[in-house]
Amino acid sequence: MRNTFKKLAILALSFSLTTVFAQETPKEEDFFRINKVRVPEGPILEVGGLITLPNGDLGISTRRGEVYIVENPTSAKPYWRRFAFGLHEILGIAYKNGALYVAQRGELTKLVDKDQDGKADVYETIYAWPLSGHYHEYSFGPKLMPDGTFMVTGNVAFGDEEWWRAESRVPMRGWAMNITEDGKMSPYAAGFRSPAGIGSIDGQFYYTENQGDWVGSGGLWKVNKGDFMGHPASLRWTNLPNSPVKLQSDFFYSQIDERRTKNEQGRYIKPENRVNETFKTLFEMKKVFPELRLPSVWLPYGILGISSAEPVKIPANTFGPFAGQILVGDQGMSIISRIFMETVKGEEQGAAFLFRKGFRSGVLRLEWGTDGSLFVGETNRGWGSAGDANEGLERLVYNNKTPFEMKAVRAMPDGFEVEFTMPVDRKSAEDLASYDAESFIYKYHPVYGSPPVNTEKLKISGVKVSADGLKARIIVQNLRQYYIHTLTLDGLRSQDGFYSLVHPVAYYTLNQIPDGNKLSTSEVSTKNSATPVNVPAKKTAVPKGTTGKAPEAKGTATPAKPTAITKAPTFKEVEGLLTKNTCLACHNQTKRQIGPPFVEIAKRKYSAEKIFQLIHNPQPQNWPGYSTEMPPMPQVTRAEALKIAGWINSLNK
Amino acid sequence: MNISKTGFTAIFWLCGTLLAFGQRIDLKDLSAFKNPSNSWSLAQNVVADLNAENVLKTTKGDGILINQSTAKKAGSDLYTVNEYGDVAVELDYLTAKGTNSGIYLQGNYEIQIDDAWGLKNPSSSNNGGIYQRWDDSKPEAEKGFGGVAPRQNASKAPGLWQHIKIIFQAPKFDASGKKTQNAKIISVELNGVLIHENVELFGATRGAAGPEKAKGPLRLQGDHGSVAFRNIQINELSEIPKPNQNGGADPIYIEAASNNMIRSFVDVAPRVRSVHAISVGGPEKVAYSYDLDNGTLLQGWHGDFIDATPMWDGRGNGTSRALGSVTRFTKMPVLAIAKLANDQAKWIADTAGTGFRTKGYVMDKQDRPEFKYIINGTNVTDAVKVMENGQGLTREIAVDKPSKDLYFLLATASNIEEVAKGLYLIDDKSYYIQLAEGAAKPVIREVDGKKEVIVAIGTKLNYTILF
Repeated sequence: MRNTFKKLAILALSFSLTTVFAQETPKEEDFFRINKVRVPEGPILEVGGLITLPNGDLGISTRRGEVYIVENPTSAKPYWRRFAFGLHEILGIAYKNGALYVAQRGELTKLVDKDQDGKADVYETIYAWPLSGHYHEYSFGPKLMPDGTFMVTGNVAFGDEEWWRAESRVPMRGWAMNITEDGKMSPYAAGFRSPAGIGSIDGQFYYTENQGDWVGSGGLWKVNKGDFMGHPASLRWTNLPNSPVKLQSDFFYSQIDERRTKNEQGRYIKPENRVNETFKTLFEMKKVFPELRLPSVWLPYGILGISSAEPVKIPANTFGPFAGQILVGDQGMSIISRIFMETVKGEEQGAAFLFRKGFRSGVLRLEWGTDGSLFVGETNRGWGSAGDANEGLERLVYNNKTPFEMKAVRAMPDGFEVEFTMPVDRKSAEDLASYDAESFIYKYHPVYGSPPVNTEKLKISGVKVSADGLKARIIVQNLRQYYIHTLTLDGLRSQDGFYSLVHPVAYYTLNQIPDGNKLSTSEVSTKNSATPVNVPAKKTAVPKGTTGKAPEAKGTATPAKPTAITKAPTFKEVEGLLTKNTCLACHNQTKRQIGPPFVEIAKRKYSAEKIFQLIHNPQPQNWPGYSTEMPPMPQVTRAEALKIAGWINSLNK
Repeated sequence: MNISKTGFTAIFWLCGTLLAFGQRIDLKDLSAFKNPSNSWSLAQNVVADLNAENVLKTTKGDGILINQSTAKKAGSDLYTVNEYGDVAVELDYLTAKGTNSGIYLQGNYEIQIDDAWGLKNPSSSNNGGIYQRWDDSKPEAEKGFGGVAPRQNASKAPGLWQHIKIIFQAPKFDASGKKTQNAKIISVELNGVLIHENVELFGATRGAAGPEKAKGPLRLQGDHGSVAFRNIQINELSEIPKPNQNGGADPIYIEAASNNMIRSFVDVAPRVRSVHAISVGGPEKVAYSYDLDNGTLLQGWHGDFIDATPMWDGRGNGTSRALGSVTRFTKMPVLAIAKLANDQAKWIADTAGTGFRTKGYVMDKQDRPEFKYIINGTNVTDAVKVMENGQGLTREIAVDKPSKDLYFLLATASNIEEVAKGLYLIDDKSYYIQLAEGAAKPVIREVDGKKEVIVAIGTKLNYTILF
């Protein structure tokens, strides 16, 4: 009797506590709304480029080879006009002195409306580059640089037998080309793989890379002349007389094994990730290849993107607290991530956060409208994406309300300082249990992508919250230079409203650890509400369906054995695993995205053990009709896989 | 790299064990035919007059079967001695201007032959159509019925060889002679275009030789116009080939209801891919592809514009292809203009030393591109336009720094015949080149077993390509 009463009391208490905490935390869409743009039936808007013209019109180029000009694009009734057509897969657009410039598959083209009838009548070839004719040799851009020249980047081709291995079959695939108005091309930088995210931020050339062979994860890179971005295929042309990149192919391969091996039948073997191996990282190879450029900020694969796309800077007085920061689109997950950048000891680095998900198709291009809204150009043809559509043009609009978010994360000599958009609730901010930290890195190898490696949980030994409640500085042990530090602030609450952070996770790329004063123990709070208790029987939510009898007060450490009737995990219980292991990057419970929906997988009635094997060694031939193959996920532990499998199979009613 | 998927009948022909026995009619004499009338004869060469109806000029010899029939002196039809049931017929034919002929399966089912050059909307009475049936007992306006127009007008000009492949399934009868199954046109492919597929023939077409039957001769119409045939191959089929059941993706076609253009990779020949190419077409139902790296015309076609499925479905392979009946102008693009020491000097192999630079194109008032490039220090404008009558292309090459050593490569072909002043038949009667009045005389040279036709450009070069 007493036990039951105690249980009921605890139950009542927990209910009342949750009532206090239960104010619905606002979501992304409560601040940033995705609007549809009114489009007449007709144009296939596989957006390849977006540019706002000086008069406010929006220029749109498409993968179907068309250029549209939209008058009053932010109004309720935009007016659409086709400006040019018949080009070969345009993947960018720029404006200069009354003309539009587009990069097609094979050339940089200038479009001029000479007779002023609203349509281009001059389609001038500024510069045509060689192509081998391989389908993957996309050409992106141009971006107009401050000196009036244009930057174009070239995607590599892939092998015939070794379809996984990129090749640079003709110059300048895998390079950035700098092209003048009168058609003079200078090779600018090399080492690109799939540089769809060509960008210009404050006149500096940046780009984002797509995860693949040699590229463990996407990220944001700054590009200067003579840089080598990491992918070796392009090194084939560094012996050309005008190459600013000096690194030679054979030297590169003498330092890293490209794992080009054949089997007994003489067929090439696709290199796969090897667990328990010694491996190289980008930062250690930079000592050997001085021209190798490290990413300013990593965008962790499967979490903040799969195929990173255009980066743009948020202008002043735009998007509230985030003005001046960087947004990056993603073509696979149909999301936009946000990057806060800073410079430490002369090197660029910073934090990446999820910003907005839920776009209807893969996000490729971003452009600011004249009213501070963000046009989002989308296409997913060939690869699939999250979202319901294959293409689109949407508009992200801010309602000027302040979300409770991490505004910035700055590196400190002994940890990190998080700046918030509004004051934090002091109690939760001073509780170490509100914070979690770990760090990891990616391999630099010829395998397609990389799992997170060298992952370590990091101890947080103290936190100092500023007087105004806007900053929290945490002491994090064992900082590792060049590693990605994941800070999860799940327990943090805002002072007003007691809300959780809209996006509670930050991924900080720690290229440099700053010098300076460390916090003293007297300045910080070391309170930790998660201090372990001796009682072995874990206090969890009251399980449904337990027998009426109270668990017999042997009091000892024999909780109900989790063997036989394990109730299948709920989605809430596996959501964290699915996010951490990037499953949700490609799979949705019911909807087809890049990968099949979980309900379809459940229909296959795989055993949990089989699901574990398939996560480690996917068999894409089991799912014809999906364009992108699932990469092996060896980092998922057996326990995690079995738990995920339990949930998946529960979907099969 | 699979170039051709449009030839559906190619798939028909490849799968299935077709042949009971093959028979190419040896046109050394007329012994394969039953009592040939004297409108039919043999020749070793034939040239049509583009300006005179039903006029075919022949050269004595054999290998080509000719029918001469004019309004004044009508010819007669020709029947094979052999009779056939299920059959595959493949042959080349060549029309005279204004002609009217036909191929009758079993003497009873006619595939129309006529001069439909440049016709925008073909009916069943035009080249490639399944001719109408006829019922005299019906009211006047309804006597003709049941004809099937070809899916496209795949016709070429008079005097050019046209290639047709017909797969025919004979009607079936029971023991008492009652028809139990209709005849069927399994497929007709004309000049590489599938114009009929799986068309049931509910009865014989107009002017049938007699009642429908299980076997009948092949009949060539000779009473309505002059026409020539060669390479006649008739294969009786033991089994009707099954169509390929692979549907594939939803096709994505580009039309040219108004002047249109599209850049893409274009496969010129196996392993020859033009990576900077553009295809241009118009409502005249004529189109062409042009290689911007060389200033060279790759191909021209009659019919529908472009199949963009190969490049716009999924990732695509970057290529698009012509939907109509294609005439190839080159197997390997080279520069169209060269500076030559004299008119016998070797043509250049690549752009080295020429300063060649493509400048793109400028649209004219009808949304048609005029190509611009620089070569040997001169600015070139290459204006290729579809002829309004749908018969081919006009081309004007203008250079701003004329020089007497600048030549234009009109064609490289296996053979070239000059059939009238300034009018040349190219590549075994594949297409014509007609130089403008008063143009410089072209020079024909023999190079590596091939014929090259070049001409000095002067300030401006005008010519037409008829196909």
